[in-house]
Amino acid sequence: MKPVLSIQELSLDYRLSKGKQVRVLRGTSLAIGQGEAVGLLGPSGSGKTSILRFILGMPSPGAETRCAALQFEGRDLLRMTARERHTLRRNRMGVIFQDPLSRFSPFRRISRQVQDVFPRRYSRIDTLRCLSDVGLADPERIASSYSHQLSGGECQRIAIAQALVSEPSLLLADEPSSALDTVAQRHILDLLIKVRAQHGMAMLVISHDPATLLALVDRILVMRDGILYDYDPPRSTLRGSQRSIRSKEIETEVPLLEVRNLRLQHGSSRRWRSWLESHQPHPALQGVNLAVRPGECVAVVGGSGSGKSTLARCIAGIDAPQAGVIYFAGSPLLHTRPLLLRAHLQLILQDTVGSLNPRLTVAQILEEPLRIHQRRPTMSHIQSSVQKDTKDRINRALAAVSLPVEYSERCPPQLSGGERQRVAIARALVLHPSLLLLDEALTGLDHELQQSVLELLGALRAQMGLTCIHFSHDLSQMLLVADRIAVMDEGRIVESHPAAEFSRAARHPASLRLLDAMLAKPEER
Amino acid sequence: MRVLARRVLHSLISLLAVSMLCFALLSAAPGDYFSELRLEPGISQQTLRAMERQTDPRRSLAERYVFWCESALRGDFGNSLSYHLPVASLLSERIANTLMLSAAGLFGAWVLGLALGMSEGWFASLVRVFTSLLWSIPEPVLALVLLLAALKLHTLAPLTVPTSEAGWSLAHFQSLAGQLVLPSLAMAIGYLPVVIHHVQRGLVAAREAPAVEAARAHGLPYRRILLHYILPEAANPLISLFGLGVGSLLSASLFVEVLFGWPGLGQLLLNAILVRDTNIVVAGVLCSAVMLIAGNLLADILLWLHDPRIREVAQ
Repeated sequence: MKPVLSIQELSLDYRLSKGKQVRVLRGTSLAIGQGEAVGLLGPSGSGKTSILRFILGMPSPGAETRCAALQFEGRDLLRMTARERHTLRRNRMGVIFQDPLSRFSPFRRISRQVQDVFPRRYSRIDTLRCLSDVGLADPERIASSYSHQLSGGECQRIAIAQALVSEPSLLLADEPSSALDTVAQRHILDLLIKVRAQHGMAMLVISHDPATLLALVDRILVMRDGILYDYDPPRSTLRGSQRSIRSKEIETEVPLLEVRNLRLQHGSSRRWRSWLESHQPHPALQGVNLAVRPGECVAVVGGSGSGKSTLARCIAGIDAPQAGVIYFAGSPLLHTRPLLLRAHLQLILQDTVGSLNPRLTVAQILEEPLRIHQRRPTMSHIQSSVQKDTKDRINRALAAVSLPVEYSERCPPQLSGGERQRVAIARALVLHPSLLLLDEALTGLDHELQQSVLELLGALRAQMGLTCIHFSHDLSQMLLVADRIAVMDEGRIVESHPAAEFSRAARHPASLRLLDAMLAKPEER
Repeated sequence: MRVLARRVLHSLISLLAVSMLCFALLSAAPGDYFSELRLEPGISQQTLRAMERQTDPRRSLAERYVFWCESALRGDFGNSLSYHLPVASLLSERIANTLMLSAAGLFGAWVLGLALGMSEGWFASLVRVFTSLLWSIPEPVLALVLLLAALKLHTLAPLTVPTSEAGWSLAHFQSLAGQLVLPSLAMAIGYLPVVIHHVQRGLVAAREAPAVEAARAHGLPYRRILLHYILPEAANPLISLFGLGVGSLLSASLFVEVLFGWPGLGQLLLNAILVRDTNIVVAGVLCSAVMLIAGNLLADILLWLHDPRIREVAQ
């Protein structure tokens, strides 16, 4: 069978500042046959997206690629001009990107953006038909909307419709479902399977999640040490290996953290202000009660908008609640709290791009909390020992999240999403907190990394009795991680059960919805 | 609509505040129009007293302010002390001149700035060098160089005061346009680096936007990517900048007016401040404030038209 796409001896370097280079790929080859679906699996930062961009002819900035041969439908792409590659993308290749919402211009109606992709003549009916082909129930409404009025799942469907317009012989998909919630993920995967059956084009799917790829492709290649290998799926992941030991410990004890009747309303409380700002005040927390024992790992699970993040921010002391009390180790926590207490309560956020200063190196990012929380001694001999200690702690924190020491000189923009998340976790761990709040902190990480972070957290819990509260939308993951699941809906904690009994004990409609979404997820083989 | 009404209300309140502040500051400054005349040996005490009697009898600041507000609402801004003319007619003529000059300058700067700023490749780097060069030269020096060049080339016609009394014939219009070229060019060159800089900055960022990358990946025609994806992405800050430019139409041209002897608002205001001709100063400052507010309002309306997300928040 003649391959649609063949790459030979592809090597890829990332150029860093100060003339340094990191070798990501070392002469690897890849061929995709007609109608074949190939998956590319690899941890974050392994250069998966760079391969895809190289095939497209839009190399990532800072990436240096060398390649012996790159052929597509028997034509040599390396000999083509930029303009010819552009035309080729228009007529023969389809692309789906990771983050569907940002891939649409906010200034142009969806109908226009879909029409833009059509090669020559188009009519409104064509546009609507191609939207309904990807399972959008109300194409009229979608077509006349702007992207910010749509959900991530809807946008990804439109992106798939755009990619299919030119009847491509190769469809490239970069993490097509990972930015979506669990229900939308399932729908998008189903759609891609259906699309492939209908159109029969070749596919190259990139993902960090083996389950996604197993559902979608014929053959999986995994990136390791700069070479692509065939992937051999593991029999079982981490199901039930370390857990279940600690479920029947410590029964009655003073809770480390207790939240009583916490209330918070977004927007200003003053009438005239809220009129000027013309927002409807939307209550985020409506009397939350939660108690966490020392050493326990609790997961607060709920859909988006249920108030999880607000609760995390209140406990961390970022938002001030309007009513209710937070007790920490038996004493009430005020909104303004001493430095020492702040070190004990660390919050890790999902959005690492926003929470890491892009101008600081990783070492500086990790040093900053230490500097703030240690009073700086003035005598020079102590200073030097403190400096050594600081360096030690930074290196240990880096090692804990399995980042090599060389990374301490990089800045956040030079890291991949998963690596940034690890830096954020290291920054929280460097202070040895007793309570860790993780606000969707595992969401952006790939499978292996999630496991390594979870193992790390487990080890820390065993070592120093670290207490964790996860705030997450992903029930299936939390069932594996947490001792206890608390379900949050519309600003309240509606029920809470031990993780082992959750699927049997859950009664509230919100919990049942979450369970449904979990069961609909592709079964991990 | 409620948003617009709120904006207009805000504008009116700030106008009121500006006029009050202006009044208070002027009366807080020592001396008045007559204090310098008193030092003039050529003017007798009787004349002075007669002149003083013609102006308002001395009343409290608040009374004068309320009286001024009342007449201002009727379109009467009082009489000028030094010109002995109603301030309204004096100002309207000068404002027309200044608007003509700075609108031509602004227009020129934006047309040139957009054209140069949108260039790509080596020409863009050339433009960048040229911009920083231009930026580092003070505006008056630029204007003087222009003036000198014009004199060398013998193209500088003597400036006649453009008045509307001459009627709007074609010949009049042509001579007016001829005289407008040099000063408005000076203004445009002064403003040009700002525009080019912002256009270039915005476009560089917009070319890397995810939506633009997706459009390139789908292989849309280059022209469509530029017009419908890159430019809208870059437009928001440029619209705000344009609004600021419109807002400073009345106040930005002082240097050029003085250097080219253009009979505009800036010159009039400067003189009025020097001789403490209160009515002119207050009315002039108020006009600048109105212009500034109108410019910002214009930018907001343009943003509202351009960005559907802003429309959504507003509703």
